[in-house]
This record gives sequence, C-alpha cells and structure tokens, in this order.
Amino acid sequence: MSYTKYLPASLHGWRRGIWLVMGMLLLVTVLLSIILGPMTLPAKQSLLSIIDQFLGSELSQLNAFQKTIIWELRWPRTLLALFIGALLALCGAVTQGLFRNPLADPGIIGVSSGAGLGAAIAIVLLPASLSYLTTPVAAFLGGLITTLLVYRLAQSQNGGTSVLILLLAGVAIAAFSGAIIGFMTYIANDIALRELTLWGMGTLNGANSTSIWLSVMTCLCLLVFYQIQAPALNAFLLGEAEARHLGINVEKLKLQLIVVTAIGVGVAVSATGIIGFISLVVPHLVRMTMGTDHRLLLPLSALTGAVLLLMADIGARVLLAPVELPVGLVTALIGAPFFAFLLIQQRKRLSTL
Amino acid sequence: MSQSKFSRLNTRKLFYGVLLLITAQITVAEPVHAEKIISVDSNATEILLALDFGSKIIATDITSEPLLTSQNVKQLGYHRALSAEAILSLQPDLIVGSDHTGPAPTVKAIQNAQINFIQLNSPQTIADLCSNIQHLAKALDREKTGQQLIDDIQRKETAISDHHNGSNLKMVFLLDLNDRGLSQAGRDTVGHALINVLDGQNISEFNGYQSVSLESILAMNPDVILVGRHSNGAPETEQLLSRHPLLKNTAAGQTKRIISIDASKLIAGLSISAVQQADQLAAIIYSSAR
Repeated sequence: MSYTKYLPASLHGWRRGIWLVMGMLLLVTVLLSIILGPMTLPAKQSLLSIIDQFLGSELSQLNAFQKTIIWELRWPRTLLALFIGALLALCGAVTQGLFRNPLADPGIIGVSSGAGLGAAIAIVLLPASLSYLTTPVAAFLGGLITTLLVYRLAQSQNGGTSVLILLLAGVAIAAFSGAIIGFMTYIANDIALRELTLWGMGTLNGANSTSIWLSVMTCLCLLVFYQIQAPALNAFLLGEAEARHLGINVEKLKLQLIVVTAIGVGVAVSATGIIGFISLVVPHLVRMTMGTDHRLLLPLSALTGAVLLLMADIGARVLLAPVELPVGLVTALIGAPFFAFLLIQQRKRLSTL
Repeated sequence: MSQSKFSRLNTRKLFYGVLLLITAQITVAEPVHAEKIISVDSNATEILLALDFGSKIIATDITSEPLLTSQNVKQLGYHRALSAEAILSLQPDLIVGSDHTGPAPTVKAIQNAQINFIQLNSPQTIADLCSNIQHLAKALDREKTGQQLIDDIQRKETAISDHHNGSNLKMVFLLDLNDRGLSQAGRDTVGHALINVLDGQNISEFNGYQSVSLESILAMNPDVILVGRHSNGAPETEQLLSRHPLLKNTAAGQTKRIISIDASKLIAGLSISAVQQADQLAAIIYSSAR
C-alpha cells in the first residue's frame, strides 16, 4: 500500500500510553459492573468470585444465590454492553469517515429509521407472544433493506454514488419511515404503544446467549474488516477523487462499508433497541484527542464505546434502584452535555477547519 | 326478554363452574407462608389488600402505588420493565404478577431463582376476577376470606343485573386524559369489560383505544357516556361538558348519563374496585332510565 506514506503520521508517543489507560479503564469498569447493582453484595467476595470463575478456585464466600446474581444477571449484561458499545462506536467512526461528515452517524444511511420501522411493525402488527423473536429479526431486516434502498437511490447512471444524494436519500427515507412508525403508533393498542416507546429507548436487560454471541462475533468480524480498510478510509479523507487516484476502488469500498455497517448497526439495534449518542459522540471524542488516523481511530473508538456504554449501563442499573432506567436515556443524558462541553473547549480549533 | 336474561345467567354460572374447576387444578399445592410479598400488578395488589396481606407487601410496581399508603414499600417501576436483580435483592417469599409482567429475561430469572411466583391473568370478566381471587386465596391459605370476597362480588353482579332489568343501553367509554381530545375504548379494553359488567352494549366496533371525533360520537348517539379521568382530580363531567358542549345533544347528555369515573382503577383489568364502581354506576345509570 504505497499511499500510506502520504497520510498523516500517527502519534507514536501517545499510542502506548492511551492503550494502557483505556485498557485499565476497561478493566476497572468491568469489575465495577460485576460489583455494583441493585443488590448489595460484599465487593471483596464478588471480586474473589471472579477469580474463582476463571481459575476454578474456591476463594469466595458468596452463597449459590449471590453467585447466580453475578454470573447469570450481571455478567451477561456486562458482555453485551461491551460489545454493543464497541459495535456502535465502530460503525459511527466508519460512517463519519465514509461521508467525511462529522454529523454523520449510522442513522443517516437509514439503518436506525429502518430498524425502528421493522420493530414497530413487529410490535404492533405481529402477535405479541412471538415479539421476543419477531422484533429483533424485523428490526435487523428493516435496517438492511432501508440502507440498500438509500444506496440504490443515490446511485447515478454511470455507476458512481454521490455522497450528497446518499445523505439526502437517507433523510427522505427516514422521514418516510418516521411517518409509517407514526401510523403504527396511532393504530397501536396501549400495550404495544408502551412497548414501542420502551424499545425506542434501548435497554441491555434482554441479554441472552444468542444476543451476546451474535454481537461478539459481529463486533470481532467488523473490527478486523474495518482495520483492513483503515488505510483506504484515511485516503477517503482527502476526497473521493484523490482516493481514486491513490488506486482505491472507491465504488466497491463504499458499497462494502455501507452494507457491513448496516449489518453491524442492525445487530446492535436488534439486540438492545435504539441506543443513541454512542455512535455519534465516541468517534469525535477519540478524534479530538488522538487525531484522524483510522488505523488508530477505529480500535480506540471500539474500546471507548465499550467502556462508555458499560458505564452508562451501570448508571442505569444503580441510579434509581430498584427501578431500572433505559440505558439509551442515560447515554443521551450524559452524552449530550459532555459533547457540548467538548465542542466549547475545541471551538477555536474546529472553527478553522 | 326475560327468557334471554335467564339463559345468560345460566351460561354465566356454568362458566364460573368451569373456571373454578380449572383453577382448582392449577393452584399451587402447598400454601405459601409469605412474610415478604412483592406485587407487580395493581389488580393483584388490590386482592392482596382485601385478603389482609397489605402489611406483608414489601415492594410494588408503579400502578400499585396509589393503593398503598405505607412508606416502607419499595418502588420497582413499570411492570413491563422490571429489573430482575432489584426483585431478587429484596429476597421475597412470594412474587405476584400478571401476564403483563416482564421483560421475559426478568421473568425467567425469577423462575430460575426458585421463588414462589404467581402469574395471574388480566381479568376481562367478573369470572376471571373471581378465579384470580380464588387462586391467590388458596395459595396464601385464606380460602375463607377469598370466598367471602367472591360472594360479595357476585352479590354486586346480581345487584347490577337487578338494576338494569332487561334494558340494553348503548354505552361508550371515553378517556379524557388531556386537552387534545377524546380517546374511545374499543373491544379488548378494560373500558369494554366495564360496559359488559354493566350489561350495556359497547358502540365501538374496533379494538383498543382510538382517538375519535366529537362528530362520530354524536352520530352514534350513546345512551350512556362513561368518562375515565385521572385519579388526581382532572376533568369532571361538568368540565367535560363545558369543553365539549355538543355532547349535551346526545341521548346520554339529555338524560344526564355522562358519568366520570376513576380510570386508575381500570389499569390492570377488571379489579375489585372496578366492580364496586360498576355497582355504583349501575345505580345511577338505571335509576335515571326508569
């Protein structure tokens, strides 16, 4: 890949330090997530129970019931939070890079609105007894179909895709599915209505082995795939024409990235409902501190997304205990002011861009 | 007319019999000795209070909150979005919920934790309500109190059918919860169940609650308009009429049978207090019919 040498040099001095810091933060957050919850368990014994689980020792004095709480309720949630957070942040970083637009998040290519539409149809029109199955599947399919539709709309006759038309088509499709969701809301009975509202706020309460495995596999695959494409995404930052001159098959790359991102977000949304702000804020956060090199930006975004969503979920579980908040509310409540704070801090630098 | 009434009462009795038989089959074998009860359904909470278990309730869902005055009762939030860990952390002997209790992973976690868990149906008829009472009373070893409750409810039911004396009035249940309009109860709603208990005829053909225009209500010209309102003192009949004066032109308006009722009693299906309310309503509705 000869073009990599023209790209901005990475911040080598920072690299090792930031990985260490984020790694430690991840570890601490995971431990906190195991220790904290509505039920008060002795922290030391809970930590010993983690060692027991991985080494097969018998150090912890927790009873079987308390261990069940940790391993059947807190641990699956922790895993799901980590991988969904990573998935969302990754997809956000790639979408922003692909569209060279700091406001882009996966919602802009129609994934979120399509997924919302699929879920609304499943909740309102399909039998409630099957909703645990139909809702995630419909959400996933809805996201994928709308994305392909948006992409198709944006394709011009000579085979190229205009980013501008892609964005506008995304807006049009989002408005249309918004209207249908509105109609579904209108004809829904009060039970479906409440379900629909809760689904839109996102929760990690539904962690089960299927959703966890699916998100782990998707997250790892995407991490590898995106990492391979990272130099090409860097070239994209220069502009499409420039990327083409650097020897990149722009059209093929765009299609691949859009479809893969739609799959990633579709999996995340079907597992947890809509969780906002992680995909928008996290990549910005990393870019503001570490620069725009995708080789570093993508894995760091994944790590930060994982940590942030897990922190938000701990908050969702503990803040109003025993009542549980939807985690999507917490991410928005924390994310939005924090994002505004960052913008104010960096206003001078950003306004020159 | 009297012939049809007779056959309806008989079918109803047969229905009770069958339901009681079914519940006798599914009731837990051993009575639970419950010192710490969690109730996540307002209907169940009402039954528990009537069975004198109010002091044993340690936590409830948000719809049960208005029923309990004690300060020591913990709040678990919305009954479809309960946290498993929060419930388990309170270490209850018994959890009473309904078919609305959720989400599914929470229900599964409760079942895995081997805590006594009774899931009642959301009652749509008096027979459902009685079978719920019987189920709970048996599980808690209060069958005598339970039977008294059931007898009382059935007395009220008989009183209602004595009141209406064969007249078949067109009724509509409207929810008037904000200033943006009215929402009409279709079939599959508790409003519909209430109309059934009153032996009225629901004019709605659709399912669920739908927003309706004033004009369509005028066109259907109901004999009775029931208006559900918030318990915290929102619109009374007078206020409703001052905002929608045209309702005075309906049959209900002319015979002064636009009646406001407490909607919070109807959240989790037909409850004990809903039957009480129906009893009072029947007295008002049918006395002015004569």
